[in-house]
Amino acid sequence: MNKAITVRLDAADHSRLTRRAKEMQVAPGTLARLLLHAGLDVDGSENDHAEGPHGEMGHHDAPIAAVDRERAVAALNRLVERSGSGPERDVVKLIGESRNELGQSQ
Amino acid sequence: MVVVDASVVAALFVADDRQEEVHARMTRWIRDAEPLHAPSVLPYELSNVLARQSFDGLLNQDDVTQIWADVTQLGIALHPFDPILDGSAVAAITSPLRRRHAADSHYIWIAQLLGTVVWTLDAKLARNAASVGLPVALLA
Repeated sequence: MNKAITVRLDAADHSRLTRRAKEMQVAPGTLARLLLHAGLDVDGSENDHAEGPHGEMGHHDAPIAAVDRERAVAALNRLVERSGSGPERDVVKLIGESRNELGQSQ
Repeated sequence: MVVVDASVVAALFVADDRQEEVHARMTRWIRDAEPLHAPSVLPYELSNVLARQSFDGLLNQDDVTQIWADVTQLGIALHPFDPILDGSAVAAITSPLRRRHAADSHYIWIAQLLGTVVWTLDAKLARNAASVGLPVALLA
């Protein structure tokens, strides 16, 4: 069950939270939860939340650093280059088949 | 920010005929520092595609290792699934979509939470979602 707490913010922090939430197109309360989760997860021991990204494939909602962007673009290029030698396949069909096979095996 | 579904990410390493468009769009999102999001089911779906490609003799173990290394460089933020908070919401999305599985609904639920859309290559999903007002866009 969800539990609510009230957090009092000064006007400046409230304004920053609201502005950032607007930029990210999420509600201020959602962003506050994301930031709380990120803070609790710093030591890696508190990750049982439902909202807020985490995981090996992800960073977070902050803008990706330029160096990481270049690394990501290089990774994109390698992925596409590596696939060049294979036969053409319909990726939507592949995913559908794997979902169906998973269902049939259960 | 955008939510990318498994078809979009898998098209980067499967020779699908929409790959060029996916490559261009993903490159633009990354260069524009557009945050990329997905539910935590994404790696499992990609894993299934890689298994299929390996089974069919199109990839070896080294290829798979390299693909995972590169996919993790893309900076896709994964959202865990909480049965209590997310379970009923995902079920409520699945029903009007008339799907026999809930995988797509996880992506849509994350998009709804974040106030954005899911980008997919699945034309049927995009069509069904549009007909019931769910935020799914066809990439190519």
